[in-house]
Amino acid sequence: MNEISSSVDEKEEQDKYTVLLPTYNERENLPIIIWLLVKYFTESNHDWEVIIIDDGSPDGTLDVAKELQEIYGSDRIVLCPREKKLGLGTAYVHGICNATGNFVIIMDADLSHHPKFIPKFIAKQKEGDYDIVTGTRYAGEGGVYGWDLKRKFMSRTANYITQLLLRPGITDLTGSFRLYRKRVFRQLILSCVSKGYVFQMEMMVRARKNNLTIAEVPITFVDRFYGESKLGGDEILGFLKGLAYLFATT
Amino acid sequence: MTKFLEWLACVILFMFIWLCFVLGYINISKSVNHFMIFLPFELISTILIASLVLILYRVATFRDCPEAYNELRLQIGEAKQDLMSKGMTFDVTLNDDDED
Repeated sequence: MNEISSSVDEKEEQDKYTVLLPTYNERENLPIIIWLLVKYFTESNHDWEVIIIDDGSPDGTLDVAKELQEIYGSDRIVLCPREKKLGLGTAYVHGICNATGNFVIIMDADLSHHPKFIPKFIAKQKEGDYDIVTGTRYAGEGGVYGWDLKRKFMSRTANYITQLLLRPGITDLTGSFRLYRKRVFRQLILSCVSKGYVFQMEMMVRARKNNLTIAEVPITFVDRFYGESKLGGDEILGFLKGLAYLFATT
Repeated sequence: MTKFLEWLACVILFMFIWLCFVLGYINISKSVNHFMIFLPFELISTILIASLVLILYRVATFRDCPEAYNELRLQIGEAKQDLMSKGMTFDVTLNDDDED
């Protein structure tokens, strides 16, 4: 396995933050998330861009993205569409090619992750010059809106088993709201093979294995503003398989 | 070493010592022997109960954040207004009301 080093990148005069936003049928949410990103990046005075990777959404998400590009400019809103749904890992690989920032932020486009936390991620990163800053729903002021007791129980149990088996050193392993140094991100995604949110777990586990520095920032997670997300048997099975894979190979 | 191998190594070490007591290769005193022989079962049941208690505690103290939901709701309205003034059109089908 290649060593992923954390040595200092070429010093840039100003840090730039690239938000990678994979979308699929997010026609309604996309304008809101972009508006929020504009708001918080402008307020915090950081240089930034958003790369929207739409996987051929049948609901016309790409058309909405083009409208937003016209409003906010193509230097801020970059479009890297794909023909069809091809998975998260490859979406990131596809998007990162066009990234001009030296930091990468990944997040969901369905309004469960709030851009107001991005300035906090950035501040945290600068505080300790961390390679990775990850949002946590389980510690500090972190929390979730929209989960019933059963869901909370399943989440806590899954998290507990994960902590026991993988000892990752962070409280929220399946979260996908994170800030990475771009070079670190690029090297990590090439070494991860899992799919879905197990992919997010694998990124963290491999980061730990390579002695990268990781910090956490509490975040609030609003689960599916327009309805409750389901956690079915398939997702649970997929999670257990992914956990077993990571347990056995890392 | 993978996590699996770490666990395996610990389990094998523990099992080895435990078997020595069970088969009589180590003999300290009646009470110590007795303690060691039943240790795995007590350990496992203690760990299971403690884990359950911990998980239930964490579920009970899981932070709900209705303020985040309310803030988002307000901001969605704000965003739509601002974007419409900039020329965006929105479908009227979805509104901000809860489905619950």
